[in-house]
Amino acid sequence: MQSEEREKKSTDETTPPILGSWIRVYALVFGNLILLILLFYFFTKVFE
Amino acid sequence: MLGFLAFVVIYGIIKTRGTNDMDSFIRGGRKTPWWTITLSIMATQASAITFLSTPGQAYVDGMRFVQFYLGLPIAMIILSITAVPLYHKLNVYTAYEYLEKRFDLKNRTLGSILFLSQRGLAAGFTIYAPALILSVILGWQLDLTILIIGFTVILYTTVGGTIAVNKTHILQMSIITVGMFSSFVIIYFLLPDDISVIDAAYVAGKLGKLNAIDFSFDLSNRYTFWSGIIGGTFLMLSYFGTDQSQVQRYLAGSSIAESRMGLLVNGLVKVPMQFIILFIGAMVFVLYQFVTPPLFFNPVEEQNVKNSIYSEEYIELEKDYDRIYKEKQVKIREMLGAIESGSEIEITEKTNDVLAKQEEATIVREKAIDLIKETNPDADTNDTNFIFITYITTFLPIGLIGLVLAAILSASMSSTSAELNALASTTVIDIYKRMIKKDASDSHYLKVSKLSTILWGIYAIIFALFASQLGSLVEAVNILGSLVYGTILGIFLVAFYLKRIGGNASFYAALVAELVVLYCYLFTSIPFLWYNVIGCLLVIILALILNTFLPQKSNS
Repeated sequence: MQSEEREKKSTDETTPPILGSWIRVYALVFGNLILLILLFYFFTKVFE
Repeated sequence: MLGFLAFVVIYGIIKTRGTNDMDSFIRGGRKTPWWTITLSIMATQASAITFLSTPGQAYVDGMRFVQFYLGLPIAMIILSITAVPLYHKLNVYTAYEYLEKRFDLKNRTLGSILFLSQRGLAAGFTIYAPALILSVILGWQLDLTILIIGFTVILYTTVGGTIAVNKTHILQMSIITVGMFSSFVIIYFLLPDDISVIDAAYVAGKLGKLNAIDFSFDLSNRYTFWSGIIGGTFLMLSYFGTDQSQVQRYLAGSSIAESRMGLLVNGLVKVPMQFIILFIGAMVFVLYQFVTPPLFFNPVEEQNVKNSIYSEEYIELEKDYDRIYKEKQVKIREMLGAIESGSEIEITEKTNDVLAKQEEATIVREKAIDLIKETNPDADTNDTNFIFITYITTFLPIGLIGLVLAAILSASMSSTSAELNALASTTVIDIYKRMIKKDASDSHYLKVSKLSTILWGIYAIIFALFASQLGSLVEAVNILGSLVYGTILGIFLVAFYLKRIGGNASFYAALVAELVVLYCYLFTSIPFLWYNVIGCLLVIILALILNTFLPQKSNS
């Protein structure tokens, strides 16, 4: 029982609530930043 | 607005009646879900200054300030990988506690003193900024406004600790979001019928206000892509990884996963949020192209000059300003016509006409500022912080003005409460419990924590009462942070990644680095974002060098 709880806790700590792995969540955050920089650059150039 | 103020206090107190031990007071019993952590992190960072000064900054200087936040998502990823699991596994109450576990007591004390010295003053700013604006706009007495805001926050933070801070942050972020969204929607309806949102964006862009990204590498330029992505990453790493007011937010997470998600979602939404706030400022600028703005946005200073011997001269300048703006409106419409026609030559010609009118207006405004200085040599001639609030009180309906003022109050209270909470935790855990009284009961430390919250609150209020003109408030707070953040970050990076480095090398490297940063601030013109890089790199390099000479003492 205790080992099940420990296992559950360990899974809770290593698995993100979305996307299945932390690497994917980090990639999402980094990819979002790159996209925003490109959008901001496009935005600056279009209206300048 | 007053109803909202009372509601936050009562809500904060009722929701935190179970706060009767140190773990609940400092870490919220480690039960906080990730979405509350995200909101709490955002509410802590988004002080009233963010909502008062940032749109004004876009009005004056364009949107380039958004680049300041580009390092934030990178910092969130790095901290999620490194600091979050480490802090959770070591079960620390404060970030500085980790420094003793890794190095020694003097590193822990240096880290906590650097934090306390900087954050104590910053807490004063977060009370002073909205109090100043509200007192000018609503005619309240400045000192009384500071006392009301300050003691309100002290009340619920002392009663409920971290849980009260987190619970009220949810409420405060909701009202901030609704307030900012409302002010944006209203601008859309206030623009002249023949000006679309796209036209408005062209007007802002052609007049240099939509300069969101600048890839030039120029050390004398404060906000560029490079200063944001390099200097900003260092600053955000330091702020979120080593500043107890933020660390305490995610230490309250029920697991590593919850704390990580709290930080990473902040990394997703913070940059767009700042972009929107700055875009609102740019749109306020466009609105004031079609309605002549006040010659000077601070009504108190304007009234002073109108009551002086320079009154007639000032009124003449106002007439000139109005005339130039009416002529400028014609030129702007011609420029928009040229953009629609697509003729590059015509667009350049008409844009130059508008810029010439803008230059004329700037000259008249500078003359007005000279008169303000002549009237009162001590007058604050920077009116950036009054631009957005002038728009709010001039154009928004009464109910919405109350809502936005409630949002500004929320932002002030949310930051201040987190700061007081963190200052109290660091004082009690890192100083009092570690060095003064080691073996007291939990209830004793809880009482001391509450007393410490009150004392730091009073300290912040006193500082706010004496805060004077320091230019743009948002920049003043960031400059203050940059003076110590680089050094603190350097100590933590050495602790995290350079396992061979001992406590002595780290400590003396940090002392030298801090002196160099202070020298840069006092005697050079290096933009402040680079202080974070200089301070941090100096600590790392000097620690590596000193480590070969000094006796080693490492707890790792």
